[in-house]
Amino acid sequence: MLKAPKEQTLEEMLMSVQVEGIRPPAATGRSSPRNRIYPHRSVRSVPLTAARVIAGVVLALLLSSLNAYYAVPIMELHSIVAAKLVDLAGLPVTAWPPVDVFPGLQPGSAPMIEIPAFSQVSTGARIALIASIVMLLIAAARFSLFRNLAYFLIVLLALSAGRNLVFETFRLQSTMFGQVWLRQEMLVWLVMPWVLLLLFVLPHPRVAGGLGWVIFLYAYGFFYSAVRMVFILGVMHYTGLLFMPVLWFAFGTLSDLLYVLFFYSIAVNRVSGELWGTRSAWQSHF
Amino acid sequence: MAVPLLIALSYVVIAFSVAFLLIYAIRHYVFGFSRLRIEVPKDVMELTGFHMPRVTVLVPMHNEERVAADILQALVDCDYDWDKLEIIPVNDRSTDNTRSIVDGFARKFPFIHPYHRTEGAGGKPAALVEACERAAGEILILFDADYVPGRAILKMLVAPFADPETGAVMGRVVPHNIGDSLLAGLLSLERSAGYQAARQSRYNLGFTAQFGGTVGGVRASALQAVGGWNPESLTEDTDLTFALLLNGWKTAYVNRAECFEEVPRSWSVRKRQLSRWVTGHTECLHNYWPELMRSRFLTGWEKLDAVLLLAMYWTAPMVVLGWIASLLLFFIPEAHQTPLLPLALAFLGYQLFANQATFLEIGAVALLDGTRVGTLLMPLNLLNFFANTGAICNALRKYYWNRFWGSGGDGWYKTHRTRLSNGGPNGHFFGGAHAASAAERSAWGLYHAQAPGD
Repeated sequence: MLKAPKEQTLEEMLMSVQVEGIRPPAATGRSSPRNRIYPHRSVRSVPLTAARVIAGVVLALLLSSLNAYYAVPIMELHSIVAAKLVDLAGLPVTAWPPVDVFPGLQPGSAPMIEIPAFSQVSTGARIALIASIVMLLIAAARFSLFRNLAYFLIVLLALSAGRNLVFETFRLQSTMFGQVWLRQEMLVWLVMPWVLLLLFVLPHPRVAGGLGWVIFLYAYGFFYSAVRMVFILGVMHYTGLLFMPVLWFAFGTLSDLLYVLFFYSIAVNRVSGELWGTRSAWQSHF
Repeated sequence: MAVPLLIALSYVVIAFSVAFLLIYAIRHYVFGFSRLRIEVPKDVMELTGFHMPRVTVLVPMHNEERVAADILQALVDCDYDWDKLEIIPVNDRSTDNTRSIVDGFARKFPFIHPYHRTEGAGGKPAALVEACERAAGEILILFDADYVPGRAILKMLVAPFADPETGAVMGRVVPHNIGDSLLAGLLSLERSAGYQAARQSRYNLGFTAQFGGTVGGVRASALQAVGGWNPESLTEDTDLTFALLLNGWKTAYVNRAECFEEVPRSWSVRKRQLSRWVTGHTECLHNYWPELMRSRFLTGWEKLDAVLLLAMYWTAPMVVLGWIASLLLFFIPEAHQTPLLPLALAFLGYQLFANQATFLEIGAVALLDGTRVGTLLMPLNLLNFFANTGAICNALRKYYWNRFWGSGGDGWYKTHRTRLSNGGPNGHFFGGAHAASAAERSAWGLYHAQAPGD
């Protein structure tokens, strides 16, 4: 009778060697014996199984397809979440009129709230702009690694102030902002599953772990988008377009990059510590 | 008329910028996954100890009194046959106590032949040109004076030379001062990805594993065949890599040959180091790309990888151009109504996601190295990214200004180190805030030469 081949455990796939018989104490002096000897880091690998690739691709395909097929309900849900947040923040949004997001698609809705022109902006907002520039200059002087980013932000603030000052007619309707925001985020959500597949599913040694991260991040990205949109709306309502370029830079696609990166670093941190067992002093310099 | 033209121009710039960066992103993804999943990386460790040619170890030194004794002692303690070993400390016009330390070792160990330079052009490349003329070894191994070689490293580094096509070899450089500053921690991540992922993958895939000028070696006959070191180059190691490549020699990478180094802990030091690398790399690009394209030794993929490697610093101005174009679109209200806006945003979004490719490499290395230290710093690389982008653009601006107008330009600059020794009892490794436990010190002895005075 044919016997089914024994499935490899993760430890076996990692080319580790089971320690049997006398187990020497770990070189760190801790009492727990080492159960496995792992290959030197120069020759290690993390196996990429067909099951993991297929599961990841199927999930990414599913999420992207759902995002494309249910674009209108997703945008509606986004608006509902944003409306709740607007209520919580106490922002005077007067209506959520329909806006065209993509040609051929039913419109989504965007918030209508007053965004003052530069001449109507309060003195406090102008002081906040100057204070921001001063604080960035101080930070640039004190933290050399932060300097270039600070200069970039100062340039954005200065350009914004100059543009507002010279061209009084420079206006942005909140509905247009909502329209552009939805366009951007819909595209991000289309691409996102594939990026998450590359970062979380394929390198992750456990299929379920990788897929779990993708679903969590997809949901997180959706709600975080509404939070960021409402935050920018609030700032624009009180300060006009003075901070708009900085807000767009910091809370736009860069923010999408950063939260993915933040959770990626946590995922890697968790897995890397358990993958090769508890290391002893001679196994690593860290 | 001017506004539509400006909008159209901005789109063209963004499209070009994104396309250029996309090539590098794909390259990083390929390297990251290739390294992560290849079960048995290309490795020549089976040959270690079986191929033991005559070796000359060159240690360029300029005012290295703090570390000179440590590296010489470590090299003496290496398990390489002394009859086949020559060590040449290249004392390049030091004004401190380096000379007497080196001479003291030379009196004690007959295979140490110091070379004291007192005149001539400054900088490591010029010193190496003269020192290599005095070297008797078949293989020349290089270490910077502040590095910490382990006992078996010489055997590991010479092993690939068993292949007669191997012209140079490179080991893995591992930063040890990860906790010194935020910058040191971020650079440690960058270095790990550069060696464990990028270099090993390129070696696995048959591409050029770049020789880094330290923790590496070169076959003396190959060096001679390509005309020796280029004393004019600010990155003589990169220059040599491509000179060898164009003459049919291969550069091997030995991931197991790990050597500790100190990465810059302050931005001012890092900026100057980066500036030198940018200038040297870009100079090599202009010197070698036509020959690379015509080379009969290289496949199409190898040529592409080589040119991408040399042009990698161009990514910084491409990013800046993309930003400028995006800003223009932002400030032109007419652009907000253009049907191409979603396309531009998609490009911008994808450009940002493409940047994740480098982080995949860093993550892959953290998984392989099994280290949790520093991985949580990954998002803070944004600061490093901005700092690097500015410094690289500035260095390229100076380089091209010098190239076209013939003035200015960077000279050779020795990267400033802060460590007090190479690992002796009073040094960074075993003293102060980073003091290791007795068990770690004992374990270290298995791996590293016994520290002097221990």
